[in-house]
Amino acid sequence: MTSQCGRYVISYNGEIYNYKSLRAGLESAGTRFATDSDTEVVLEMFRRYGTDMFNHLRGMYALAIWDTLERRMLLARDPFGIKPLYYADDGWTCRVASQVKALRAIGQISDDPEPAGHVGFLLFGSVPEPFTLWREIRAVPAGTYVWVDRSGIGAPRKYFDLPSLYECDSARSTDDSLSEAIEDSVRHHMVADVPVGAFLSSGLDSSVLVAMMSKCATTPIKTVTVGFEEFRGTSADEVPLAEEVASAFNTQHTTRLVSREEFEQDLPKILHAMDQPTIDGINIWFASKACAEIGLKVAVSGLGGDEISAGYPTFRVLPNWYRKTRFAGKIPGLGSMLRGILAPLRPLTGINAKAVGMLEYGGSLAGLYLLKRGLFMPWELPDLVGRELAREGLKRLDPLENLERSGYRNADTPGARISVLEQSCYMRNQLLRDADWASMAHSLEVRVPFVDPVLQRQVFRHGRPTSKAEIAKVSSLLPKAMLTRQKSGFETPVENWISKCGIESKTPKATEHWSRRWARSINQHFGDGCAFSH
Amino acid sequence: MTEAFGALGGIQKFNRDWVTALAELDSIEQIELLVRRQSPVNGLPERVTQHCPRLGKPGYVAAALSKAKDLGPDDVILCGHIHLMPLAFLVASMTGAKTWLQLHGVEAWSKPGPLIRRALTSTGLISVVSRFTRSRFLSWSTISPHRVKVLPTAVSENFNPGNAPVDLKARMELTGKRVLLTVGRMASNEAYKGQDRVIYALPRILEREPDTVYLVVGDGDDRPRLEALTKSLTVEQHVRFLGSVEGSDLVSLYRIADLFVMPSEGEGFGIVFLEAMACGCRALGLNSGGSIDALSGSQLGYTCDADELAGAIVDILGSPRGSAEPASSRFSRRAFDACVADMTKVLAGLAS
Repeated sequence: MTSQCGRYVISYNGEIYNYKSLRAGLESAGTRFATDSDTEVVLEMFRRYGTDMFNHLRGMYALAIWDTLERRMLLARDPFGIKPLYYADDGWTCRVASQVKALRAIGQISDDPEPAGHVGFLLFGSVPEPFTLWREIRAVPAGTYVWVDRSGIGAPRKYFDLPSLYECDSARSTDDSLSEAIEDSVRHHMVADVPVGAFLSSGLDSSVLVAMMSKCATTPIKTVTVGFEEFRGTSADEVPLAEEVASAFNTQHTTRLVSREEFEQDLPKILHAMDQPTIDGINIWFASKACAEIGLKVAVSGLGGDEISAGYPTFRVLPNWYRKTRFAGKIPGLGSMLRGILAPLRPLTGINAKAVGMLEYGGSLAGLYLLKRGLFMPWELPDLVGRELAREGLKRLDPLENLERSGYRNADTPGARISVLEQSCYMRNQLLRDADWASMAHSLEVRVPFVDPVLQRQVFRHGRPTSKAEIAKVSSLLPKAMLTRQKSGFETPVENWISKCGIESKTPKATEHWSRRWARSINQHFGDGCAFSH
Repeated sequence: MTEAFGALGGIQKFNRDWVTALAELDSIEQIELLVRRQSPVNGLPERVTQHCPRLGKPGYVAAALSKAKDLGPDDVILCGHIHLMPLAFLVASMTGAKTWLQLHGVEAWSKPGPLIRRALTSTGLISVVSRFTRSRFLSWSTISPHRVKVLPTAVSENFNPGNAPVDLKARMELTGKRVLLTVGRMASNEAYKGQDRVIYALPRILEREPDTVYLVVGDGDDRPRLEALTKSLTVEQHVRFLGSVEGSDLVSLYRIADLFVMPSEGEGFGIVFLEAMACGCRALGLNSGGSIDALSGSQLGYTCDADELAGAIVDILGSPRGSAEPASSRFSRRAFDACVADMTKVLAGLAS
């Protein structure tokens, strides 16, 4: 779309949830709009405010704006990185796309692998931005914008600072303000010209969103739960409790059962749609597929709920580990020496791979986060990808520095720091990215009301994340069983399926956790970094 | 810099263009050049002085450190060679000045020692002569790609499509001949310019174009091997080794040649492609290395794979000549100066 003045041209992917209020403000200042779209509002906001507009946009977006007068282009991503944006700059030409695959399809971009991308995937289970598997292709970092002019791509400039959301406010948040914040975010995320449905698991986060959506909607909303035969009758089965929630809020509910046969049938399509390697995304693939089958174009997800309500074990475990290791972990050389002694003894002692690195990484929360979230440990990488690729990858990625760049130290409380790490690493690089490719493959737009700066600023006014108990108070209609249920996540029986469908890596260790075996298989599918050489 | 004003050679010319472009900017007050080798200088741009410290490397280091006391955070250290980066790093650390390093080609393709790698981390801006060199540099360097910009060499205005001396072709007994030309060193330790590839391709070219003559300009210790090769392939009647040719004589050769061909595998950029095209001569290189940039893919010149060389040469010889203008304007001094001016703004915007 071209601006009415003819100067700016925008290519835009996403949704601005507050575009109506922004539009009203612009209209009262004299702007006349030619369309009803949020795209035109973004263009006008940019014309009027330049890059300051990012402080006013509430939504998810990846955009490119070409300035025909200055002959330069602005690239930007939303604050949390909900929408992806990649570029490939060879020094003469800068190419931009929403997916790595699209850039690769151009055919004029170097095939050189990025060791940091390969190593990052094996460490974290997803490729940490700004890296990708290819050296010439990089992500525009979340919450930043960057100018491209005839000198090439410039330095990314941050317009959003995640730790600042945790700044304490003297007006302490009450239960009502939490409820109001969630309702406000849900209302904004329901702005659409098509019906908005919801993924409904048996978890608290999606249930609370469904409760709020039912409150905001004038007609029953559509909800979708994915179930698996393998889980029937077990605690992992999401179906019964989800149906109870659906009934409580009078939704048009669909329970979609997925079988191993369907997984096997879809696996080639899943791998084709997977833009970058990840060990997750299967669940959202089938949930999105189920939504598409019942005609939904937009669905709300509870993604981000655990990050704002300290829902992961990391919130409980890491402060404890840190207390125990913070002093010994800072003694230079002690940790690596201990790991050097213990690691070769692991086959004899059976000691956990993560335990041998406890002191080496125990000096900082980022190090412990790497240990806790890590799929493979840095010292396991040479056996997986070869010594040279592992060394180069670790040097280029610098995983601890990559985590430090989240700015987690700027948050005041341990919970806030861990929340920043979770949102900057796991949520951004894995959950949000997987939600994008897996839903877009089914022409479904996934919206995430918990991943919203306005909501989070309100929730974090205490200077720390809220709790599940606080969130549960938002609706009195939630089933009692939900409040006492052990957290299970949104599980799939992939563990059983992969060993039977032929994708599994040829050299797995039988005792290895399924996620590591799955990662080996995905890594092989994406080429294993085998083109790497110096 | 090792050399700049008064010295011969591609890197030296680049350095002169670089310094001259900077000296023309209003934002630059003074440029002081420390060169390693003294050359007779006939005039310098305004606001530029060139010094050549004596006593070898120690004298050079001492002079650089002596100059450092005058530098501050608003100043820039231009570093003309990656091997000088440790010294530039030292001076920058002492003064807070920003560093701008220029990379020319092969010196940046493989990982240097830890001292240079450490020094590179402090560099504000790195300009490289081609996309290929940029890519090779970034394959081992951890420097953020947005700090590494392409600054291609400019072609001198001396290279233009004017007329060659009327009787030159007759004097060289080239009347009615198809003329292929290569200009490049013949160093046995490099041997990448590809003159031998052209000689190997000649028998097949001569089948289709029997009046073809291959002129080889340049010299070096690899020349005997190449001469022997022409004999072993019995094409010595069609190959002439002209030795070193410079100035207007070189321009004349470009003007009478039907095709400049340099199937080199290791060009950082290949300024000779530009010189040839600016003189109205078509140019052919390989689909690899920095040659692609000088030829702008196939927009300005021609590229081919090594095993397609003979066919590509025959095809080009059979096609009409193009215009010299696109090459000389795209890689003009004016375009180079604008690029340098842009980069000073980039450097100013980067944290040191």
